[in-house]
Amino acid sequence: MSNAEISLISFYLAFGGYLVTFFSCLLKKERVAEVFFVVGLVSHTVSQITRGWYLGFFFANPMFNEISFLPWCLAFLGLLLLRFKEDIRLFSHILIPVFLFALIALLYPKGVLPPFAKNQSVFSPLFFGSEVLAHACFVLGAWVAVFYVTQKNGSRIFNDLVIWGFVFYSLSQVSGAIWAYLGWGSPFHWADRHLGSAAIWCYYAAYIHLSFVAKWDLRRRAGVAIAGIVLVLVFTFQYQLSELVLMIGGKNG
Amino acid sequence: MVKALWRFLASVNLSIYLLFLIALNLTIGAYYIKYYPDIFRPLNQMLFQEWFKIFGDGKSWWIFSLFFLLIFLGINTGACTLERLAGLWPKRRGSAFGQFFLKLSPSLMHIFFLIALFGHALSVFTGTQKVIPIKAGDIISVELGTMEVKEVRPTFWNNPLLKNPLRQCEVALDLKTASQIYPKEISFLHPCWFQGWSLHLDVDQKSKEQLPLRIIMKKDPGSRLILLGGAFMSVLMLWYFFQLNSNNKKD
Repeated sequence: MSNAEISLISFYLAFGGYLVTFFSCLLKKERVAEVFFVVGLVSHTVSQITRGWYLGFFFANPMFNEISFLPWCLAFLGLLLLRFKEDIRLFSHILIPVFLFALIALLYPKGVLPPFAKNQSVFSPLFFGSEVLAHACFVLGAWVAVFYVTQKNGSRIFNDLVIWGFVFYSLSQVSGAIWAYLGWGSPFHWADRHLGSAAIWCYYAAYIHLSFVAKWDLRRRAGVAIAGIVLVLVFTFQYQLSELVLMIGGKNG
Repeated sequence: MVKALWRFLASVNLSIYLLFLIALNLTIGAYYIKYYPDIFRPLNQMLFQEWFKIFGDGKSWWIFSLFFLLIFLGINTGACTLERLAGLWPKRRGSAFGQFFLKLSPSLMHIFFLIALFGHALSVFTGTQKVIPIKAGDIISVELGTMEVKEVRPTFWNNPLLKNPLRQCEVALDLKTASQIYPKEISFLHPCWFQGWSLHLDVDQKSKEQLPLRIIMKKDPGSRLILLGGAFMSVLMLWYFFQLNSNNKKD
């Protein structure tokens, strides 16, 4: 069995795990749901790691491809929240975006983007990895914020998620800038990708500063966290779709 | 009057509105670049003032509004930081160094942000860039003297799935000034620095030649400020929020 096949099969197993978790939650079988969630995350981890050897040699970037790494990050963050915040009410909330983005990964064309001479740097996977982790924090933050706005006892954790998302996003921008400088001689380029990233950074920088103004209470900030996700998803999926033509080693490869 | 102006300039409310406006402006700009690449992509090869002489028209309005907002944000950040530091500095003896540094960190982050912002301004308005196609044996006249391409050693991925299997390429150069010869070696992602210039190996993606190598030769005083400012700001931010989280848990 090739690494590509192991990666695909373990992803299907992961999706199966998330699916059983979803239905177990609907049937209020929390313990079963938790077990299958962990099974799903472990299989997903195997899938992500083996993506590094998808083409028969090690190349780190496919492990951090947004489409498959985003649901992994969401599931990982979900598990962290469950363990450290011990708020079981959050579990069913978290499960929905994990399932939704795993479904997108399931339906998305399989394959990986090929290596090229200028992404053989540690800063490249560092950039993609921290960027996707930041996106996951923003997505989960916005999702939990929806429940904060609509429910009386909604969790305030969305604020922490967005703040950590901003920290990871800043780190990703720096890694990306170092990579761009080493490869192309300039840390910033007049390109839609760079301007889109800068727009997201500025939006969440504004969010961070809201806590210093009294009129921006947590409910209003939740609204800003929810609105920000439009910017993140539009820019993210726009680039993913534009890169689709380059993908190899999958159904379209 | 002066006090009111200072309060306005040093207000967090102003920072918030400016950041939201800049985010909107950048989003609009991203779409302008996406749909008019022939107009805006050359900005990467030339200084803004040179670019504006050739390409400046009605479609460049968003760059001017962006510059205006960024200058305004720079002034606002500077004023906010000064005001905060002025309030914080007299209290430095009242608390332990660690605690004081934690309080000082947001101001330091803002200073690093200003350094990065200034670096961007330098990159856009000053500096020089040249793109030089190269092959083994070339002797090219450059500003610092001559550049001889002594050797080109490409390596390739061994995988039939890859359409473009170029993996790495090492290029040996001799940089000759009036008085001396300096042997240098560059490869993809491993530039060399010489007398204020940085030399980056690049490949022309549009060319149909087998190995269309070129060297990007840059003199950009802003790059280091952008990288240093951004790196220190981000690492400090990571440390700061980690400390805040730990302190919250203890409380």
